[in-house]
Amino acid sequence: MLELNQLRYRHPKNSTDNNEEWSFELQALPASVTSIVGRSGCGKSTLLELIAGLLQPSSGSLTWCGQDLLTHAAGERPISLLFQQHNLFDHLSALENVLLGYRGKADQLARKAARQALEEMGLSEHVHARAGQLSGGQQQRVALARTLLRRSEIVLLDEPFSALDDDTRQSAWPLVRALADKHNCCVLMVTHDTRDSAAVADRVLRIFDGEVSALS
Amino acid sequence: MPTTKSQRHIQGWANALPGLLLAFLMLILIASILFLLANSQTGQLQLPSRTWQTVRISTVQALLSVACSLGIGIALAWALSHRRNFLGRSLLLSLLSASLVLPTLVIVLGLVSVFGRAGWVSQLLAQLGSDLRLNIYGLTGIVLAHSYFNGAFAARQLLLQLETIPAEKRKLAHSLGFTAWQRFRLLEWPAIVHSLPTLACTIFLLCFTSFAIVLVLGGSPRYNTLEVAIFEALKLDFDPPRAVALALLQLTICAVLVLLANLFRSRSSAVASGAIPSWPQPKAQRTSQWLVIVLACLMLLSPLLAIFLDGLGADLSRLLLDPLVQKAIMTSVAFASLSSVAVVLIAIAVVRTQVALSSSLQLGLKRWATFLRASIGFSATLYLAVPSLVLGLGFFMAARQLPGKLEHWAWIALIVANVLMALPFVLALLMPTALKAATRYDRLAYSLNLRGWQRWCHVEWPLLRRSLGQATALSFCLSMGDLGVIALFGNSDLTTLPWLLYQKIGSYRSQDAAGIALILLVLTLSVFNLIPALFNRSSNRA
Repeated sequence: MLELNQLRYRHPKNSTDNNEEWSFELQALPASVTSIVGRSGCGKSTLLELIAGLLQPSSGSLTWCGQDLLTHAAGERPISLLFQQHNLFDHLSALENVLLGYRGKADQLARKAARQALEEMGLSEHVHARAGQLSGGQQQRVALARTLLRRSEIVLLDEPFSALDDDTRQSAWPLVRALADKHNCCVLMVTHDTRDSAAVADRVLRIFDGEVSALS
Repeated sequence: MPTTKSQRHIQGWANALPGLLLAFLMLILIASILFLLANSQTGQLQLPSRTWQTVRISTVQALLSVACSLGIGIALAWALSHRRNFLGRSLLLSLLSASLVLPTLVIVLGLVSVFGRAGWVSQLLAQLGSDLRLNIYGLTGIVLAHSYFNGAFAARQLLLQLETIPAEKRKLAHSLGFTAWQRFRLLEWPAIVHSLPTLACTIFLLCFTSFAIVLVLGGSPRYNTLEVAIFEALKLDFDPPRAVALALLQLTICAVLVLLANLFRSRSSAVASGAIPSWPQPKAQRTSQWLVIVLACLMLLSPLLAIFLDGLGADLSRLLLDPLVQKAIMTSVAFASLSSVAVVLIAIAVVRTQVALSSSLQLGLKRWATFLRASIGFSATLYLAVPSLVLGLGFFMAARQLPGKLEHWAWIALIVANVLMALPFVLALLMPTALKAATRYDRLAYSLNLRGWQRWCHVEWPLLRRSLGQATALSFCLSMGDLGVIALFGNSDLTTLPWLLYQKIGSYRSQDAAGIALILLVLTLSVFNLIPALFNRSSNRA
């Protein structure tokens, strides 16, 4: 289980939230999708960046199945992070982007695994296409394929569907659901759209100024 | 409000007309000068036997300078993009921005004081017991001086590109655990690689047509560039046919290079990505970044410090009371003021024309607008194809054939050359802001029927004011430190500070030269900081 116990973050003095301190309390199970909602600037993305190791907490604990994650650098945590956009390197192919998620030497075995991940995301025809030439929805699928190859046990999605049109958004929902159901990932998804939460999430949490409370 | 299509057409062309006329006037002026040059000699134009050696050495030194400048620029931009908070960072960035306008001759003097045979480095080596004595004259000195100016210029441009990397991509790289090399290869190199060909072409052109640096540091005719060869043909040997032949050759080569540079021109517009996240880095990486920054500071600051120390050792009060120095200061300030006012006015007209033509494209005036925009763009980069010394030579020939005093032609030549020299840089400063403002506010301005002076006051002036301050300072300082055309026309009656400095160096009056260099440097740096501050002040009041 992913556990955040009084994980505190103090904003820098020159930021808009001048030196304010937020404290997060949260539990999330493996093989589940937890949706996090809240107004802009309430701390949704800050929470994900703290878990991913992109921000340093001032105190508290962060554990995954009893293992302290705070002692690990960002790149060493069993975590994949996806943003609304800019998840890929446009000058690399879809395959090369997926291979970046492979922990170890990118040998033939890794390439095979990367192809399989792309196939699972329905992108077998776009393996060698440059990321910059893919549509927004296809780009998000490549990023999800990288998550599969990385074998991350925790997947953090920061507004993953915001840049997608309605049809593409709906076709991406089963893929996120599969991360939890098929690959046993613990998925934390920040969104402002209740349709995403309703379609994908097992439970919905609300954040207000760093305070997390359950909605459903 | 222009309601019909034809009314919109008329308004669009009315906005575009002043800049169009100016651009075509410039083209006609340049064409006339070139025609005059080509037809100025009745005898056969013949290139001297050493010409190809000159072209070869011009190319070699320019290529070496490009390699060194880009190397310095990439390393420094990389280090500065990672080290975002340290005391003196903004001073270093200001120095990088100012490098383009620092008077060439002054910096050359500073470099000689540091790296010359009797310079600081040689003295330090002697103290350490080494017999090695540096020789700054020749190819090494030329490349060193070119790298000083262009390395700083490249670093500033590339840092801007690195700042465009989206924060999400930086976070992604960190969460994927990229090594320093992976981050450079996958994140930073792609951000700068598209601007490298344009940057390389621009630096190559600047070094290929370099004059003052080669004139002072060349050491012997072996290292002459075409520009210096033209100067020597005219000023030392008084051989106009040779000068004209060399000028036409240089013109042809530069025109080809400008066309090539335009092929590579980067179409990406750098927009900073906002707050740049940063994380703790391995010690070796931090150390190498600090090393690059310290070396860059030493390289940039040591010549300036040398000029200050040497200048303070000169008899400054005597120099400032010397009528010749006073006259040179007045002439330099007058030239720079006239040139900067002319550049800024022309640039505003050209920018408004380009904006009007862009709007015309949006409004449906496609037929001629694209062609005219390209023509105006070409006329604005003419300086790169027609080096100022070639232009000066044209005016020099005109002065011999047409009525009027040489002094009057000299004033015209200096102002025209300075305008053309500064115009590409000034337009590069103004154009992105103007186009951005037009894209955002054009339809709103049309809907509110804001036109002409009213539109300028409410839309363009508030948005362009800061850039105009920088543009005015840049053109003033470029004109102030130029030793191009004045090298042909300079005499006891017409003396600018750079020309006086060159004369003092030539007559081995080092103390006076150091004093004049300090005066010129202080004037340039003061104006470069004062003018934008004045524009910002008026912006804060508004």
